[in-house]
Amino acid sequence: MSAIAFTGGRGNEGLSALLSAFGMLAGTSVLAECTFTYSRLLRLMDPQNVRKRPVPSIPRFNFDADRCSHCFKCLDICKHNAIMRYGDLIHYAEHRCTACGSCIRWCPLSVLQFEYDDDVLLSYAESRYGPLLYTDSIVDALHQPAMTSVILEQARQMMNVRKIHQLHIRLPRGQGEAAAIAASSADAVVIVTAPYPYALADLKSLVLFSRKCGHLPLVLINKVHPSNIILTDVLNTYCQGEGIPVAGKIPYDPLFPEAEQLGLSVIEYDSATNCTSAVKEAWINISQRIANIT
Amino acid sequence: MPKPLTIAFYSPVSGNGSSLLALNLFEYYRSFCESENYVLLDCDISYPTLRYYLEVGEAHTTDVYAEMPHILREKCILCKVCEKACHFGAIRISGSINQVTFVEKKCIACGACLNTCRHAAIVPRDHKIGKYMVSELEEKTFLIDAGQDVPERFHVPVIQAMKAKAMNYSFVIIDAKPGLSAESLESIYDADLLIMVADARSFAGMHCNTILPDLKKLTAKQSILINRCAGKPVHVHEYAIQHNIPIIYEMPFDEKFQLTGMNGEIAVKKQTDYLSAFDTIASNIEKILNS
Repeated sequence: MSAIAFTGGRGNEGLSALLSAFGMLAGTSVLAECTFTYSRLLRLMDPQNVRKRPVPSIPRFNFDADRCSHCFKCLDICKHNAIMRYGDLIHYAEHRCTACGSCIRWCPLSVLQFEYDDDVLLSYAESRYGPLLYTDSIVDALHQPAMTSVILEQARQMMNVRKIHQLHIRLPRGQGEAAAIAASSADAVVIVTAPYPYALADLKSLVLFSRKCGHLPLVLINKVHPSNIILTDVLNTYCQGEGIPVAGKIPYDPLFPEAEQLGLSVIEYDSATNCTSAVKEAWINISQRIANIT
Repeated sequence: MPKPLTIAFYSPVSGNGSSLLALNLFEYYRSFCESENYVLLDCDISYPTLRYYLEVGEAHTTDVYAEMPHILREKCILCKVCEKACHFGAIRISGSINQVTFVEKKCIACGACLNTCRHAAIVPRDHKIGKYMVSELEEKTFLIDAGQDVPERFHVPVIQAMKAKAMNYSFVIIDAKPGLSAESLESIYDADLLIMVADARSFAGMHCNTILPDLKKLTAKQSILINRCAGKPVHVHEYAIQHNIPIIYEMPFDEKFQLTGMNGEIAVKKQTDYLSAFDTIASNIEKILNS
């Protein structure tokens, strides 16, 4: 059994399009989608037979506006600026609330109450590539590490039950605690970069991040075009200097957005072009590397 | 001081091109519209993008602080009330060694423990949770962004501090963090105009349907900008008509515009081809703000 973690950076490296193509090439594999934003990749995967299960989450607030006497004491109490006053009304900015409970303790009428919500759902689905695990609930940064652990645990259970040998993990965006949990649990990390002006800075920090998680990463350079050949070289030279293997260079090609528009991976859309053969070659390199490690 | 005009660029998924559009619109306003000063706010703390496109001058750094617990061991009676109150496991009491330990790495500075201690054994103490930088770009033009090393759990308070700083200027463009989590909502909160960048792919209509209603509570006015348009994005149009949300512009898919951005250049600055597009965008923004 092997687990590969894929990470992009800011999000325009074309990771979703590449991962859908790799899913096609890998045969049956489990995909754990750990990005907590709306995922392009999921649209491409086209989830079927979706089942959802609640995941325990921390308490949130319930504010009973009808019973509020508008004493505005809570305004001074809340130090996260989550309660504001608009004229005679209380406005509660839920996204700033940390559930510390200060306002509850001070509210004379107890119109502020804790409640445990079960609206964070983990989704299990089937796709043409294999089983998928993801959440389309909103998970704030505070709760992403716990959610990531739950997704990965379930993905590994699914592999055991269904006798599937490969797990693809799409890492959460950024290099925070959630991403570290997921990367550390994988056998290898693949970084997808693209020659943008910030690419070298991002790549350096992602390499450092994956080393901290115990992996020498594998790098894929996407969106290579004659107009950005200098930046591509900079990325390539950096990898060589650090002894980081480059698994492939994939050309910038309008074929990717065209395929995405139809909800297809680039392999399904047109399997006999320059860019698809580059994708296939990259996948062979990644698989060989994984075979060597595990 | 009057509240500045604030325009927030937002996208539900990363990679819709909202940063590039924000940069171009900022450049357009700076060159052609009168304002006392201009500030660009990069709220995507994990991956600040804008500074790579700009010539960033000297930066003025400001630290952001929050109250974390300081435990007075001599007063603590090991009642475990604070341990129970902490949702994040930052306070641990071990019975065997009779000791209370505070794990700073897990603390989100919420203050729950401070509220619960009945023995005055926990006192608040300021901790640095992050920093933001104000950099001068050109005369009267500034960039505010944060250090990439701010832990994710402190993104909301750091963005709050950055926005409070931006209120001292007269014209603000915000590049929000993509997504729907608290950090993204904080970046657009209270903006005068939300520009949601939808790309013209098949699922953009779904984004509009599920996301825009949530955002309506947060900003004064909303609009949609369709990016990389090829054909007619029917779903987005249907939604816009149904909910009476204006579509500011449909930016065609343009390889040259994309590649200019990839090479770190701002298209409006380099090529005059795009000026008419941003003329239209700016005049539509004015119409919406005045309506």
